[in-house]
Amino acid sequence: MNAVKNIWLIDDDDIFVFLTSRLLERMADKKEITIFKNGQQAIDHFRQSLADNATLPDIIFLDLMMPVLDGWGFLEEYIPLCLQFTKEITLYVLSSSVSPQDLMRAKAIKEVKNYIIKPLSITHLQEWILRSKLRQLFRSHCAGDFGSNCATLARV
Amino acid sequence: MCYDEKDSNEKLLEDALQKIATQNISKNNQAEKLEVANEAIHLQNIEKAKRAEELSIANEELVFQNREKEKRADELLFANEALALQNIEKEKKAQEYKLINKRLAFQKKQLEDFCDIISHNLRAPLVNISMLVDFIAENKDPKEFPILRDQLSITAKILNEIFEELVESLQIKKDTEIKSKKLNLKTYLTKVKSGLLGQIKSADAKIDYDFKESNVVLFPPKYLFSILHNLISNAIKYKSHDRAPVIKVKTKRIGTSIMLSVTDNGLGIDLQKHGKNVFKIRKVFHEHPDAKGFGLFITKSQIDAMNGEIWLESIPGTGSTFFVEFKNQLQ
Repeated sequence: MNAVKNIWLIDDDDIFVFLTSRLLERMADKKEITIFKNGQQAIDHFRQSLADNATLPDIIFLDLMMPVLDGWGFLEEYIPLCLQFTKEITLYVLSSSVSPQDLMRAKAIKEVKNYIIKPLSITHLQEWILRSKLRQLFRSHCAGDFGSNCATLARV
Repeated sequence: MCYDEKDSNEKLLEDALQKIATQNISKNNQAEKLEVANEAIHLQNIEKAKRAEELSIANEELVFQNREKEKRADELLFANEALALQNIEKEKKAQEYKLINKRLAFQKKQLEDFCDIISHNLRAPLVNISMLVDFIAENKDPKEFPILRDQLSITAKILNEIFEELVESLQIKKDTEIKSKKLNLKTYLTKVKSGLLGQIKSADAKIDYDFKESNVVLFPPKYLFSILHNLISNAIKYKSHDRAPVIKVKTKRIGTSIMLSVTDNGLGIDLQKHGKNVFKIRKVFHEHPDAKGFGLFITKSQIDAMNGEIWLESIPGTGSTFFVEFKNQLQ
């Protein structure tokens, strides 16, 4: 999580955004949390900072139900933009919807790393930190000669 | 003379005799032929008698068959009548099934909307409440308490609103279960306007009407009020940022239908982008604090329930016109 500097929260629910950003702040230090109230605001921001890796997010939490441009609309515009990034951006759908259709639709999009049903819990975050730490560990090992072990770790 | 005469007489006699002899031979021949012919005819007669007998038998058979056929025809006629009756019954049944089917389709849609509200909309405030409860439990900063408490009360209010919407959407009944009345449009528009007085005043909205073609519609009173209220409050809510709202309400007769149109000079909607979502629940296309995406959803549900139609034309930046078709308005 320490490697993560920029987190984007794209969500129109003020209270949820307030609570979730508190939670994220609590988890680690030196983080930038940027909030967008709908997909359009986020897309506009992307277009302005395509080449600026410092501004671009490391992680996006995307809500689905939003005014103006909803999560699906955002993804439609975000996917072609992905090709222009030189930075690895991880996108999670973070929605209160438990509808299987939404889940299946999101999972079919390869740019969506995972579908998280709200709320975003500390357990979620801890698990996720563990994974990113393992991944970092795996990367540093890869520089050495543990090729076969890396493949197993990579799936964590 | 005497001798000569005698001579010639004899000759004549001889000739005559000869002739008779020849005739006799030919007659004998004929008699023989006739006898043969006679025999043939006799044979033919026997044949014919046989045939006649056969024919008579065949005839009897045909008469019998005919009688059978008549009987069958009678039976078939009877069966036909029975089938015709059954057909009428079946058609009645088919009509009934059609109606039941329609009602089921409507209820299915209602159930889907219901599931949508539950899984999309009702869960969001519940998530917030559970998070807030955790935050309050873990909170050690006394300055945080009022913030969290306010958020909890806002969330409870939102939850309550969504719950009300849920109840409202379930109360929509199919046309067979709700009574239509002849309603005076001018009266209903006045009612709606007085309910929206605050919004109309603060937006400086102007509302004109033209009910020359029809001032009466046959519709459930509650639905008509709700439809007019939603269309007009939307026209005010999504007003242009640089002009006061001017709204025109108009009716037109088309066959047995009455078409109501509500035209505004507001923000308009990009139909190419949002066209298929305009009437869906929780779909909001403008940034507005009071936009919930429920008004047009409930409006369409009410119109659908009465087999009517609703659609819109819109130009972003110029305005929108909503059309409502009230069907079966024979008055």
